[in-house]
Amino acid sequence: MDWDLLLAIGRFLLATILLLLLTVPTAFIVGQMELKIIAQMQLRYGPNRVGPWGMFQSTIHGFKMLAKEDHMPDRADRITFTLAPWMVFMAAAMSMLVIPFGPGLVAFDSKISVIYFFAIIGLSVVGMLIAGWASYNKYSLLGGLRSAAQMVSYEIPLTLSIVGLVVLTGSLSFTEIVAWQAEHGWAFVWQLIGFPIFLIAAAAEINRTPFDMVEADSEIVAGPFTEYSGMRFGFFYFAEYVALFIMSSILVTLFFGGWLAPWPLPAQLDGFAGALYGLFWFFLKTYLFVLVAVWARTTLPRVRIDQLMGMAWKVLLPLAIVNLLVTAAVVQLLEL
Amino acid sequence: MTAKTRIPDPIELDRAEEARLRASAGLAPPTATPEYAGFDTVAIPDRPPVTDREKEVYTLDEGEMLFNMGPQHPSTHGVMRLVVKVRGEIVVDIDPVLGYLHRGIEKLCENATYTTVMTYVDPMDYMSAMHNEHAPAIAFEKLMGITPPPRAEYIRALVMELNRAFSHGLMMGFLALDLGGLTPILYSFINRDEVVDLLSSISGQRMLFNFLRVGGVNWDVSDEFISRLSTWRAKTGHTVGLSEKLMTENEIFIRRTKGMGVLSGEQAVSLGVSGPNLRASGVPFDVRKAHPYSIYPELEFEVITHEAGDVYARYLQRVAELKQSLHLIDQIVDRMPHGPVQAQVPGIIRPKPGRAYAAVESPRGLYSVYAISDGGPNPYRFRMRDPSFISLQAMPVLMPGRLIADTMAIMASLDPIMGGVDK
Amino acid sequence: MELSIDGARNAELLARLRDDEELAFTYLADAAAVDYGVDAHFEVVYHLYSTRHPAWLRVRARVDRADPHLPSVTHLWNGAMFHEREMYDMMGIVFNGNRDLRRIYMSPDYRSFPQRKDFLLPDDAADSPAAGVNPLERPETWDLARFAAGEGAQAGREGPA
Repeated sequence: MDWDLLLAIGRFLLATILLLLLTVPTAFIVGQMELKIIAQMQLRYGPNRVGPWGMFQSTIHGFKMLAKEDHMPDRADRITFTLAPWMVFMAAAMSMLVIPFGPGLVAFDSKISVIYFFAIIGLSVVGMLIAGWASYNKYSLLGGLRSAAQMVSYEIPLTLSIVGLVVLTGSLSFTEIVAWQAEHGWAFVWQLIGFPIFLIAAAAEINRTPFDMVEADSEIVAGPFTEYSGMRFGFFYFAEYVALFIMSSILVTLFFGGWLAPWPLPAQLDGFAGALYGLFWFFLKTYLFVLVAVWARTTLPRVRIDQLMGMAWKVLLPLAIVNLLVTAAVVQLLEL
Repeated sequence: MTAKTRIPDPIELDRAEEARLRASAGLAPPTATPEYAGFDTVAIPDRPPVTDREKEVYTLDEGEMLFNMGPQHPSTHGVMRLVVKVRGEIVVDIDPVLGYLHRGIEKLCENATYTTVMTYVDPMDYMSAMHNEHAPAIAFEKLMGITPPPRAEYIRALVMELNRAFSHGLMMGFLALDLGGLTPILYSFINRDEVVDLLSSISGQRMLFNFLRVGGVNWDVSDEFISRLSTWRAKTGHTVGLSEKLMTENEIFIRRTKGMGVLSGEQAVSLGVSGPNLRASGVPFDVRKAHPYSIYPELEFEVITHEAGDVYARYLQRVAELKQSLHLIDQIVDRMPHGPVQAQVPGIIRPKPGRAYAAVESPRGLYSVYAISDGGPNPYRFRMRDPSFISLQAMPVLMPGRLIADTMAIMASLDPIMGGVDK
Repeated sequence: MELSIDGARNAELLARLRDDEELAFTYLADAAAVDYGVDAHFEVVYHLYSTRHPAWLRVRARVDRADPHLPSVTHLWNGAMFHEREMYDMMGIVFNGNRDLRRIYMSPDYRSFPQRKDFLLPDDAADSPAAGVNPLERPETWDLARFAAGEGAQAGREGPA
């Protein structure tokens, strides 16, 4: 009986289950932030009936999704129609496995977690595309095509902007990148070009305003999600917010020190207190960037699809390559 | 419920019901005539194209697709159906299908007294309903030969400029909303809410004011109204400034609106476009200056124009006119005389037989009324020319070659209101 | 504010008015149709604005009621298209030379002209595609026994209630 293996498997299962359970309150919290913060910026109250200060509005939205009638267009492709929300949600959920939430708090600590992460995020493209196609609806089709084009275009600057950091830190693992940042300071100082590129590309990847052409509800109603209702739509809705959280957390992990605190604990406490401290800072920083995303949503109009893609290919991609070259050159010269 | 139990379409249920009733009455089932394809087909169009233009729009080349925007759509400014022919994302042609909001107002007014007409015309351009009443009021006064007292004219002008101010503010908001910016519309509604409250205090209605009468206005404005107005006036500069900060200098907004939907001056005149759309294309035609009515000769203002004629210019035009309206409101409040607010008008208005034409400058453009009286208590012919209706003809001219996303921007910049379009 | 009365040669007159250097009535503000009664004529009324001087002009063109045809002015003003479509839809005046003379407000298979003075709604129903033949529009076809039996509207419905 290999107890170590069993223990490792058990630990992994526990972490996975916790993460899956975590997605639910995360989506609710991010949803609530959207409702209330956008409202305050628009000089109105936002929901304030359900719970103190309307805290549970987003939760009730989630339960409302469960209660809605689940219908499917008559001529929709049954299998792919059902599969699409699963794919999008699974992409989001699986990518959470490699995020370091705190010291030693990773579900799956791998040497190549960067590659794993960006590969899994790409699954959501397939999900949205088949959602658009399977709905037997011209609007959905247009939305699905737009989303596929947008997400595929932005994957390249997204990953390229990270490669500079990878070269700098010499590792493809999130935990090692965080460890590097513990020694050398937070990476956004080192990657002054890479960080904005990643920020923009991440916003475009998760279809967030100003890049939310996909679900532009003043033009094509809801894009690929037009025909979805009930829990199917709930999955998409959840997946959007969870993806926002995940992208923020990756941004924080890669560029802002992950779970590192600006000022470390006086006595380097390992174990439980250290983990809690790390968790606190991780969530604080992540939600700060979620706040920035919500802020951007309130303020900015949408970028048009061709301008969006033009920016990806003509601006972000060259900049990311330049960033990579400069970083590589500096690393080589300074023997870092 | 699994997907196996198929719920029948309500149309099929109605058909089955009708067939049963016809059978029980001894009638043959209805024959499907070629002109009435009904709901059997889901294609656009559901009947073969007849006119030249229809054939042009509904014939598909390689790679083209027809799809509907509307009538149920979050941003077609009302119920309107746009059949868009696209190749990929590029719009090749566009065909507006109207009539979803047609209420037959012109015909209704032929059976209504001259006073009741005021209630009928309100829901035309429901966003700025006072202008809809102003033109008929002037036309009927011409038929009767009545001049409203000066205070009534000033109140009318005040209310008109208030309508213009918040209507332009709302257009800014709608333009931003259609482009994805969620916030300016709420700032515009902050302005509008207060004004609508004010106007409801004098007319009793928040949106479809039944305020103007032949010979004046219905109620007088009180000093409290004027003081609330001044408070609003002080605050509104700030909220308009907030919206402007979010839009005018915003790089994304500019890139999406500059150079879009360029309407040249000659095209605009030929299309009959009027109002801010026309002036943003460089043609300095403002009915308040060209054919002055009411007290506008006494007010100081200039005709604002912009040269570019694109969506951005139309937006700037409306912002500038909004500010101009606020100045006009200041002038009107300063100069308002005292006096009665309604002229002596008989109980049942029976003008002598004749014809009258009156045009006003509504926030959408040239709004005119052509009334023919036959001496009776009802108008013989009551024709309204709504500016949004005519401005919509600019859509098939401006759209082709643009992306679908620009469709909404261009339409928001033309600012049609379907109530006026469909009468 | 002048007005002039005209026969059926409106297109040439309007073209002359528009292209004339002095008059320059380049803006077509309104084109309306008036019905003067069942035994009288139609009239199409154009209101023109000028860019050169502040006058506006009304041109009234008389149209025969039995055979209401008039030359179209869409070649002079693009914006006349919707006006003429509306006049066709509401009054039934056919404009020769209009490329897109179809109904604009009513549905394309509508068969009456609502703003005529002899338009009555029951006639309209008889003229519509269902032609008053729909039994639901005729009380003599209603099977009241169904309702008397107390089953209500559920009797005879297919599918889930």
